[in-house]
Amino acid sequence: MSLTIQALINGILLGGVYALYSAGFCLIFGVMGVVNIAHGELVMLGAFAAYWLFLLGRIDPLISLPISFGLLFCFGYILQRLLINRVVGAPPIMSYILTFGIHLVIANVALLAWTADFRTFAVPWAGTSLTWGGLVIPKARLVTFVLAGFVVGLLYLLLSRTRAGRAIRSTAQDWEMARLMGINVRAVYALTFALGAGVTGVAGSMVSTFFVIHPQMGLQYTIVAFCVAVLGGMGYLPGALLGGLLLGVVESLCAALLSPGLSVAVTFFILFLVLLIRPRGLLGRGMLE
Amino acid sequence: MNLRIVIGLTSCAALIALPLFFGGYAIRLATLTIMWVGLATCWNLLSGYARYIDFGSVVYFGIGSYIAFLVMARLEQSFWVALILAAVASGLIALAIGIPTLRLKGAYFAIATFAFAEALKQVALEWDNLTGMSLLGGSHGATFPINTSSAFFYYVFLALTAGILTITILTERSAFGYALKAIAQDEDAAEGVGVNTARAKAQAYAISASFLGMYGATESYWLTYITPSSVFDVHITIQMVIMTLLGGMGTVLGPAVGAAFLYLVSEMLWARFLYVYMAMVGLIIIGVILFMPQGIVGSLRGGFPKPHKEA
Amino acid sequence: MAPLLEVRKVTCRFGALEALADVDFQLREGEILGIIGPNGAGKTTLFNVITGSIRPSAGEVIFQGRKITGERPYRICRLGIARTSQIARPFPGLTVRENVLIAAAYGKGLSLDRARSEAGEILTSVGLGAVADLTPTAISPASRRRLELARALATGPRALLLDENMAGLTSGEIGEMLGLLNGLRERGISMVVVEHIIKAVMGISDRIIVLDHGHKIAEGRPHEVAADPQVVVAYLGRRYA
Repeated sequence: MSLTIQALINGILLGGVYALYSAGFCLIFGVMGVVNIAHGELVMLGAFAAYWLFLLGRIDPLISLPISFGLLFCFGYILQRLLINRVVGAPPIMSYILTFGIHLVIANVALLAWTADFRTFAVPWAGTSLTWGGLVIPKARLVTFVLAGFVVGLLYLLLSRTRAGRAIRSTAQDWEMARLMGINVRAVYALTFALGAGVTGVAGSMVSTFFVIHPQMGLQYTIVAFCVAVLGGMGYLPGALLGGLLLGVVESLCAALLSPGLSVAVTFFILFLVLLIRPRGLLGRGMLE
Repeated sequence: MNLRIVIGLTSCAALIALPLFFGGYAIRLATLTIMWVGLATCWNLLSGYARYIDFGSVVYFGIGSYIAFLVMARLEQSFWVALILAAVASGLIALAIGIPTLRLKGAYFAIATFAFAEALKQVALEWDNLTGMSLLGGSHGATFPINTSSAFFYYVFLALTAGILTITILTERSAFGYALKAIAQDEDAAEGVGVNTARAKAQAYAISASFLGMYGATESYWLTYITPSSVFDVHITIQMVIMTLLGGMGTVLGPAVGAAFLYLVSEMLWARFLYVYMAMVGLIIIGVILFMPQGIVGSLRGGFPKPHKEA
Repeated sequence: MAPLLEVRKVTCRFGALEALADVDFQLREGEILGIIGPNGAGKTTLFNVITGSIRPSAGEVIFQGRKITGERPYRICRLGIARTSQIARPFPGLTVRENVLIAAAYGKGLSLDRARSEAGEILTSVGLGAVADLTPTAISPASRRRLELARALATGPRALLLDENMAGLTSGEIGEMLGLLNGLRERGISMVVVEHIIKAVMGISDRIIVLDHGHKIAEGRPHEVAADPQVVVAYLGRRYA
């Protein structure tokens, strides 16, 4: 029984991790309709940012979060302005093949620069856990979980309460109309992509405190972000929390109760079924192309 | 007699005679080039003509591989039986999966096919653990009986690739080809002029799946050793996508040109400079998308334009 | 005589919006039926229901004595109902001829060779013979409307649904289009014509029905409908009052 409860807790915490690094993916898809296959590379860059800042500057990843946010924000802005802007509104295949190309370039340049070594680094507090009646809660994951709720909430508020957020939302609904109303659509897209990249960088930094990092880690993160986005409803931001939690819990329970290998299969079958039965996500709030 | 037929017949004769004059590395290179030309051509049939982007095509390659393994190693039947069963099984599974999945559009179809392929890979990995049988070998892999004739595999791949290319040429010249192109451009309008879109898509999907199954069966027999991770590898799908895109989607020659080009470049580069090569492929993809979205053949010929955005 | 096409108590809801409410009408053999109504009256939705691209919330559509509600659009097309869209939607990557050819091959079930010659004849008959080998993006908007009509005709329809086929045309072009439609009627094709250009639709229709907010508010001969006070208020008011 306590095994199941522990698995449930692990799942919820893992779900927080998933939600945190999927939020940017959902935001970008929701606003621009771009499926960003280079998403995992943003996670990877965020992770390496935290790694080098810790190694070279002895900066605690929690302190360096704003720095990774800033770095990835700028990177995302440039990427969008230079490349991705050119395929917004083109047939969707163009966007995923373009971002796949970007994925290859970033991942392999990173391999050249940083080698294929698996890296970890020990932040003193991150290795410790809270224990309570035999249940274990790793601190780093707890922080990530809280951060996930915080980031999704903040993005949500930003979209619903601020002027920039209103511009983003109206562009998402109908960019031609938005342009007629005097919104600079290119700037909105660049801002959206930069924001999405920034929060993904934050996620990457957090991930680096408890997972092994390496230049080729990206694709698996992209895949999970896909799953989360589909479960929660593509482009529906609060759905990222729901999708992440659900995925985390299902995976963790499957791994604990059935077999770790099977949990991946179960995840993908659930994804496949959700797409067939509820393509707008479990809450039915996502968008269709 | 027109020039195209002369060129076609000459190159056929040259391809058939090749193993008589070359051996070893040259034949291996030719065999793999022909295989990739065929795989990209398979992908092109649905994804190039009808623009249903399949990110899980490798699943039929993997299914074909394991069917061949079961038939040849477990049931001790001949390769030909395995080849036919691989085609039939892949085609039928493709119909069962395709009919619901092909209702999805755009990224949703791409993600669903990808998810199905990954799920099946995990099932193949876990099957033995789960059922307590020792059937597929899981991550330990599966071994085939050995056939050392490299000319044999060269000819099988040549025949398969000739087959799928012929089907593509016939498609291009038939009402079916027009139906697929119409689906790519405006599916509702296609349905509105009497095209049974669901059926046309499922047909293209199943034909390409049967061939992929046969390619999987043949390559596995050639390599003699497979694991779920090797025959359900997502990179096989990605190669098909990139080769087709590079050469030109929805054209007969595009995927062949793209596949031959990319495979030969990779053969020259990647053994020595893998990461540089992969980064370069990435740059090529970005360049193609930005500057010649119709691919090599499409750009030379003016191909058929991008489908317009749905209203 | 039984009507060619009959719409029975069709209701169509999208969430809270009732796009069509209990709409009935009949199209007789050889008839041209006009449908008018302000924007958002449900005219296009009605066409979508008849051609099977939208399933109605209630009610049914009968064609040649057979219920067709719930059939897939391509089946309905092959049974003999063709439509043109409000916004011309040719396949942009195919030539004008190929656009029509595919309709003849699939909608009418002809072999590719026969479809090709059929396409040639139809294009000549609508006056597009000279541009048959151009792409639809290279021809004028008025010609694209004719292409839309040609493509619908190539499916061999008994009933033709025309959705604002004359919008945006000059008065000369409207005259030519009306001539074409009269020619089709003589060949035994029945038509439902949705049109904003009142004069055109009044002139060509045998009967008219008026939709307003999804309800049928009037039906009759053109002059009767034009005189109906309810219609004048709902629709014609601004122009005729």
